[in-house]
Amino acid sequence: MDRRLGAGAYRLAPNDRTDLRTETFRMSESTLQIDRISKRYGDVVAVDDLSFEIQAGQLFGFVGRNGAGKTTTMRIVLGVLTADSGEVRWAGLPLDFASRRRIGYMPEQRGLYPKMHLLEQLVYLGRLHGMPGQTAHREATRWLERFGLADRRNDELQALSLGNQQRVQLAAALVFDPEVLVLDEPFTGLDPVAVDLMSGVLRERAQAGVAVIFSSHELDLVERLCDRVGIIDRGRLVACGTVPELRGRGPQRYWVDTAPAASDWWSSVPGVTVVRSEGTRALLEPAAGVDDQAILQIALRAGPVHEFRPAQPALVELFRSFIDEGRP
Amino acid sequence: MKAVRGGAGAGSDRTRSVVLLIIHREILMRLRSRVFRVGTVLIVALMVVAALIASVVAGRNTSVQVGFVDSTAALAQPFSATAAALGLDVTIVAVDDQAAGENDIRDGGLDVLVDGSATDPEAVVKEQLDPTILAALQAVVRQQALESQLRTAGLDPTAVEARIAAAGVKIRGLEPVDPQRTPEILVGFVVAYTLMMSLSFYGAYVAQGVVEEKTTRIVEIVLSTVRPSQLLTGKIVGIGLVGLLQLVIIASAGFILVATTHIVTIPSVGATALAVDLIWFALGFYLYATLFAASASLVSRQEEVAGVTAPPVILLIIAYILVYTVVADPSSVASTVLSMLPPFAPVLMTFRMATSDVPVWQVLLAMALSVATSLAITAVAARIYANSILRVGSRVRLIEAVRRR
Repeated sequence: MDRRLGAGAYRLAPNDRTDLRTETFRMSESTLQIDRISKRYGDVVAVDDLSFEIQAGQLFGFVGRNGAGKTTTMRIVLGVLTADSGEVRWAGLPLDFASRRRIGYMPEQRGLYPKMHLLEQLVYLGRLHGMPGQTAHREATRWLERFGLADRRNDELQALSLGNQQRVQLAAALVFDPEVLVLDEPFTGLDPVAVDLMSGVLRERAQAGVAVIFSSHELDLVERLCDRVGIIDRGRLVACGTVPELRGRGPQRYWVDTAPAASDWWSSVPGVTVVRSEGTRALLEPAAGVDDQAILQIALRAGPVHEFRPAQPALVELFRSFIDEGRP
Repeated sequence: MKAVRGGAGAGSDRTRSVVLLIIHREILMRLRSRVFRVGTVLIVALMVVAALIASVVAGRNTSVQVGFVDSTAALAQPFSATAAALGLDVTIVAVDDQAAGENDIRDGGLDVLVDGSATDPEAVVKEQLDPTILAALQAVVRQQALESQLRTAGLDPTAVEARIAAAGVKIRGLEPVDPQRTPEILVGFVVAYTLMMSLSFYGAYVAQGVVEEKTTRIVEIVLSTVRPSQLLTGKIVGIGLVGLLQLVIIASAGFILVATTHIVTIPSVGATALAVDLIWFALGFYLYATLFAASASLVSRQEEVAGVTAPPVILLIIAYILVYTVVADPSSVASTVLSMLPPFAPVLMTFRMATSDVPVWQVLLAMALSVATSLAITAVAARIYANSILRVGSRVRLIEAVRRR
């Protein structure tokens, strides 16, 4: 399966009905579908008519400001909260108690039994998810080895450092070999080495065919790691797709680097706004209908052009352009 | 693509195995906890110390040393026999003379010195004479005076005594008398008190376990795969079994101590009565543990547990206070009705059963009512549990907790 399928990839022409059916069928076979869910707490709307999908084998980054509705959405997926309306489906079927056992979950507020030994804790959680005792024991041991905690298997969780407790928390979500991983801010509080370990494991699980969704405020990391990104603001999904697709939804801008002498050549170009200038470089945003080649020609007339390229805004810039920053 | 595993399984099998897993974990963790191990050892140790002190104190008081000088030696044998008939434990000591005997009394080696003559004896004591010893001594002296008078009158003392022994009053009770009523009331109080204390103690244990899961946030992971009612049931049964184990250890230690030191006489309690008491512990525990768990799930800090679990504790105390109403007449209408009400039944019904004959139907009805109430509370408690267990911070209002999520 092509893991790089973007949101637009299955938006087909209305007349292409055969393909649409095939696509829908394949989608429902191995897709986590969040379908128009809403949740309000009294007068506060936490999640508002939210829909998106994550396919098996995909790493989905879920970003938004604090209180945007990420945790509520994840809790609804896990059935810890019930949505006021809407539905969450896995493989085409509404998630129920039995199918939720195939989801690995790392809650925003970490929690494990502080006085339980690492190994028995992981075995217990594995067995609660329906694993036979021996398998649970084997897998728990394997994950502890993987995270470098094998020699501490009989220590109480509370004896571990916070970083190590977080590794155990991830192991708790992974031990029963889930088909879907839902991780609420898994990178918070990790040192750079642990971040690499966590990223590696998430990538590897996605490659093994697991649908992975995680929330994070570390947008560089999300951009580097994720196949697709969903941006949520005030309970609504404001953008969803691959990072290039999100870039395509914003205005096209250009970086131009010219000789020092011609520093204000752009003032003679009609319909162009300077977003930012750094020394001899400038970020230009042409108005709709302005030809980029015309801009280049004007620049060349002013002097030698060392750089002329479409800007590739980082996710963090895209994020700012999508959300309403006016809100406190 | 990974195949969908057959994780769903048959519903009831799955429920059973999940609940068993939770029970297993609860038992393992409680048995491992220092509170349980140190607590149990400490209670048993305290019981041993108390029994040793009691037996030493009791041992010093058991045998009364009674000394007789030569002139009163004839009284020693009849006195010993009379004392034995009265259930007194006396030791007869031969004393050389009055002075030696008085010295022994001052030293504490002798309790009573009988001097003077056999017909006109004098009892010398340190301060006061035990009235039962005095009664025994007087009976012997009067008996001897009577016999000598009879002989003077030419009658055979043995024949007269036989006639006296034959004369007596027959007793005809209009209602059957319960010969052991007092000890049974004592047993009833002990059982009711033990039930009340253990129900509130282990109920608090359950409450603490619920809040522990909330404070450590593990509950969010567990509840994504386990139903609140399953978690609740596993917790209650696991802690209940640990409580039962601790009760059995303490009770066995108590029985062994009492049997070896003889400090108190235990009225014989039938095996059936004991079994029924255990059933009532189980039913009462189920009822109250659910109440404790539901209350505790409203808060998220250990410090708040005592406040929020006050209602079940107060119910238990009321149940125990009502024992004093029931003791007056265990078979009255008020006693019967009170002992059937589920929150009071575990304490009051066991008390009534210990002190009077309770019709079987009443016991069964009370048990059925208790189970039905427990099931109803479980349903409500599971909802409160599910609704408030994710709410960390301020206490959840009951009305919000009962509402749907």
